[in-house]
Amino acid sequence: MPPTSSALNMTTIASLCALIALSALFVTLLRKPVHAAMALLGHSLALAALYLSLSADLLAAAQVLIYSGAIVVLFIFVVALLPAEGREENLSLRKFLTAGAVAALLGGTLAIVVRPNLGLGLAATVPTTVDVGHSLFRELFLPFELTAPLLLCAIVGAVALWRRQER
Amino acid sequence: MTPISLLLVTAVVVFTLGAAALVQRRNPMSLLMGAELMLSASILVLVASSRVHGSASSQGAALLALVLGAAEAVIGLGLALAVFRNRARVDLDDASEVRR
Repeated sequence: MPPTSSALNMTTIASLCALIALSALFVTLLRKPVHAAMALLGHSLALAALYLSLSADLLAAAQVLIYSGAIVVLFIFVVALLPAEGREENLSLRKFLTAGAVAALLGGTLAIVVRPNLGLGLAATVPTTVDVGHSLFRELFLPFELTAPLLLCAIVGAVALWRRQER
Repeated sequence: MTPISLLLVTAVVVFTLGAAALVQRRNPMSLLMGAELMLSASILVLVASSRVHGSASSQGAALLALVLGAAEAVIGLGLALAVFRNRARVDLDDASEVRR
């Protein structure tokens, strides 16, 4: 029997949300790319835990496999290959202020957009992994199939970029 | 505070932080990490909507968005490596050959 809406543990969700936001802040602020990649790893693992507590099991597994497993490892590989470990030389105050202004503007706009939806409750039914599989092969069949050429293009593109570099 | 509002607020915060990283940093890796943050925030909203509507297809869409993020990281990091591998310093403002 799937858990009902009341089964959501508010303390767990709140602490995981805090962890997610905090690690995102570290990704934004940390200078060294290795440290930022570690913060990204923490961010993605906390997200996976959150999906698990929201009973989105398949997504939690995919998050760990694809994000924590593949993407973060790829980031760390590239850090090792880039000169000076990809460290930034200097950051101007002007860029910092611009980023703050953009963040304030975007955050304000998003807050206005999100505000009417804050009171939304939870549905009585919780989609199971079987339901997600059914939806992937019914409503989302075309986008699901399109991920195959997308990934193929990404692989071919990465190889082509590398070959161009070698010449 | 309801769980959904908590999720939405977190998503807004993470998306904003990702956008700030995208504007502020000059390092292609940090830029890509900012883009990944923004993508993960939107996936979080999709998961929240799957709990609000009890719909499986938003979770499916979240899965597809995850794959999109992987493809984006592969191309972005490949591009960063191709442009900056033989340079003394990593600074996107130096990469003028992309403009040509």
